[in-house]
Amino acid sequence: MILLALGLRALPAPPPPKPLAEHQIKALYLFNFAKYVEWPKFAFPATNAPFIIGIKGNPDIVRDLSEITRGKLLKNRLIHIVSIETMQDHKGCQMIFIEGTDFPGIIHSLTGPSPKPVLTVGACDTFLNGGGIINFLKKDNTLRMEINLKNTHLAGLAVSSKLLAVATVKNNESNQPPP
Amino acid sequence: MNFLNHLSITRKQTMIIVLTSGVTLFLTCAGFVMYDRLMVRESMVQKMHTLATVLGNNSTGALDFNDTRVASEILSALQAEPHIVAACIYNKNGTLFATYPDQILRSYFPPLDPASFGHHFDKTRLTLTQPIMQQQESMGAIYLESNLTELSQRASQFGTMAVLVFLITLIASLVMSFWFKRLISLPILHLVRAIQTVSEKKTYSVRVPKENEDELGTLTDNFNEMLAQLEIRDQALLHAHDELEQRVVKRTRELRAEVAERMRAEKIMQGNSEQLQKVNACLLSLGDTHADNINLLISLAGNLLNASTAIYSRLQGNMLCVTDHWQLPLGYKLRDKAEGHICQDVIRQNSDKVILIPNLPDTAYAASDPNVLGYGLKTYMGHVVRSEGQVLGALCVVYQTDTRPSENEQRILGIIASAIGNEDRRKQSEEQFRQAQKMEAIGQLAGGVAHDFNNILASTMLQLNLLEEEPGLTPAIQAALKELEHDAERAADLTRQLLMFSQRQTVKMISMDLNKVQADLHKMLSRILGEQIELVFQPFPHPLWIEADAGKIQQVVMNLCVNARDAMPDGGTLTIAIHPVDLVDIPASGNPESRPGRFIRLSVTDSGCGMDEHVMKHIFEPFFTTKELGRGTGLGLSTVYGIVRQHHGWIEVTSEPGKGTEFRIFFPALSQTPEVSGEPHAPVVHHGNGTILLTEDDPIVRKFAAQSLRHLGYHVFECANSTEALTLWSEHGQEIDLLFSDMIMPGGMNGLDLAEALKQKSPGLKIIISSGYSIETSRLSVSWEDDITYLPKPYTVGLLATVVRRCLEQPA
Repeated sequence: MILLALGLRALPAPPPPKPLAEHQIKALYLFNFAKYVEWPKFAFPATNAPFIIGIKGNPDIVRDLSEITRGKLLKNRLIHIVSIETMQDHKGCQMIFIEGTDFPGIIHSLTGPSPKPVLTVGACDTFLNGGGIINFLKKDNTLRMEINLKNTHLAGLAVSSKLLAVATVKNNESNQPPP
Repeated sequence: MNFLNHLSITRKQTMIIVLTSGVTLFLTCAGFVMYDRLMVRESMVQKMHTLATVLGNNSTGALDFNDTRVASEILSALQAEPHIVAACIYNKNGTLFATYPDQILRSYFPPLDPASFGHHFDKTRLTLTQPIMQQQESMGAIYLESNLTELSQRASQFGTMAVLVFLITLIASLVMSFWFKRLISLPILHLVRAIQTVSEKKTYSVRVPKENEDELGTLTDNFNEMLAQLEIRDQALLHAHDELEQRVVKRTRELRAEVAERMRAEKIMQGNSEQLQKVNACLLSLGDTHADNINLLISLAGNLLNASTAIYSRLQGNMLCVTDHWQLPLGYKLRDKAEGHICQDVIRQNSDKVILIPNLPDTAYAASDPNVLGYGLKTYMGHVVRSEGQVLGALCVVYQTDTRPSENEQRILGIIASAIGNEDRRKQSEEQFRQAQKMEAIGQLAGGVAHDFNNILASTMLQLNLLEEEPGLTPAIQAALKELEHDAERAADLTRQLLMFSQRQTVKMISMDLNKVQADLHKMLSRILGEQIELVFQPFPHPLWIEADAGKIQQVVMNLCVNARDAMPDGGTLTIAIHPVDLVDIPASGNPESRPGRFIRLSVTDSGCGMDEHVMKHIFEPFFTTKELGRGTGLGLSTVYGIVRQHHGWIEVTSEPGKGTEFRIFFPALSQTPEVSGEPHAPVVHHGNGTILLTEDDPIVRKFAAQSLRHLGYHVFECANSTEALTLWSEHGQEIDLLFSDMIMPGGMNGLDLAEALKQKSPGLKIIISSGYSIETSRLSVSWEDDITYLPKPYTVGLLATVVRRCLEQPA
């Protein structure tokens, strides 16, 4: 242990890390979201069904996320990253990221009389009001999140307070956080 | 530790208690502080670890989403923990992510080093670095730094507390030490003080106060007990010392007095030696004559003591009075009665000291004793005369002047009184010895004569009996034969009395009440004594048992009464009295056979003519009589004497001419009341048959005895001695039924020896022993008593027939 400590001290200091690109940060955050959100059991078709994350509108994120999740498990499940190209592609996903404003169709299919337990993440100012659950926004040149708790509850998902602590909580009607 | 040796036990005890409690407390506190410090440190580490874990967990979100603001907010919660002085969170790359407090420089925190994970204490702080983990994935690390204020505060509190406790304990131990002092050291100190007091003041009266009931209490008790014993011994020693001192003083005083007395005595002795020489010369000059010796001694007493009168009074009877310078007047006779009250008092007091009575006229003796005034006596000095412990009388010296005899003179009186006693006793002994020898000689003579007489009479009587039965005798011859037979019987009677005197007559001892025998005789006595003599019989109200031959006792009484009757020809009173007496001492003038014990006294008293001294000396001798010729045989009192001696008794006689005589006979009393035995049966005359071996050395007796036996129907073998008898036995032993043998026979084998020899050969043999003497009972063994029939000589044919028949009829 002493030798190991001396060895560590003998190594040269590591170089400062290179700043991540936004799509990389988003991909990382998407992966991290899954740690702080709890899905109901019926969200998965089988006990050994993979955790499927669907990405729409940003192939970089698909690539980055695939890179991040390689060899890893989420909720003790294999991770599948799918690129959503059509309205059918998002079916079976537990998390969906929609880049841009083309989200109402998907959101609509997920809500309605029988909402689906799918965590929807967007990057548009109207995403939350449009039925989305988490929305990326840039603040002080830093990528932050805002969460719609009502939509979260409607989707049957539970969000950890740790995630709430780092995000801005919002409802559909107003942008004020709940009391 | 040597310094402890010089400390007092109290200080040692205090020191031990304080040191022990102090060290114990110190070790306890130190251990507790160490333990507490360890526990506090552990607790601090644990708390820091918990804080780091909580903060780390809460920071995972901030780390995941790279939100330093949130991370800083999380760290700011540490404001609630004032001891946390610095904290930071490193991200996954080891870059400082968030710090606490806000104003702290980032350079304050060390770069993240995985090797330094864990906690570290230095002098002033505790640092903890631990990774932030999320689902087994390292998210970064958290670093916390705490100051040790709590630890030092706690140490300070503990220190203060320890000092307080130590002080309280010290006080408590001192108090306990004081208390223990009462329990342990105080009793020891008491003991030490007591020992010091005993050692310094040499007194054992101190006592150690007892404090408690433990071993020290026991030690105190034992020590006090030891002191008490020592005190007693000390006092005893002191007492003994004082007593010894007193005795030494007293003895010294006595020695001085003795020396002075001795010096005075030596002076006196020079004068006394002449007197003692005279006493010695007188004692050496004493001769055989009693009266002369007494006179010499009394004269010496008078001369030496320079007395005007000297009296020698005997206890009973006579009194010697000597006057005129102690020369007994010629022909002076002893007076019959003792006179002088003082002499009797001396005798009664029976003291070995001289009785000295001065101023006689002023005492009661002047009235009670005629000599006092009669002779003008002023001073009296007397000493008892005693011999072999027996009081005989008193030697008394009187003065017609007021005289104070010296001690030496008193001593001389005692010496002469002693010499008189010895002389008197010597005289009595000589007289008694002479009398006894005379009586013994007469008895032997009478016995020998009687034996020969009996043999003659036996043959005579047997021959007369046979002659009487001869046919054709004329009446004149028959009358003459009867007369001869009567004479022979009178002769036999005389012989029997002689034998009785010589104590060779058989006595048949039975237990009898002496009262009853006398009562049996009362009628006969009245007839013998006649009307002129009054018979007074005084029996004792209760039975008085003696062992005696009733017939012989009757004979004693009869003989005495006949003598009394003869002493009272003009009538008078005859008193017979029976009384028990207990003799403690031997009477002075009593019979030499008298002895202490319980006796029955038979006294026969008459009021007749009495006897003078000369007659009294001879009354028991056979054939001595004062009666007219033909009135008495002179054997009456001799018979009484012999019978009484055979009954182990003795006779005392008191007589005064003209006044009467008293005979007192003493028989030994039986200690227990015996069972009354039956009267012996009278013999029955029988003819018979059988074979008799007749052994008799006297040919005439043998001849007529054999003739009589054959006449009675028996077959008889005759022999003259034992040798012939044994020879005859060898031939005809089987036929012989009875041995009829004389007792005394020549040839060394008497009748008893022969009987014994034949009895061994034929145990069933019947035996009759005949003798002119009484049977020699001393030769009979006890086993033979029932097997032998005794037949005294002379005997008639009728008696012979009865004895032989009864003997043969006895079962074997």
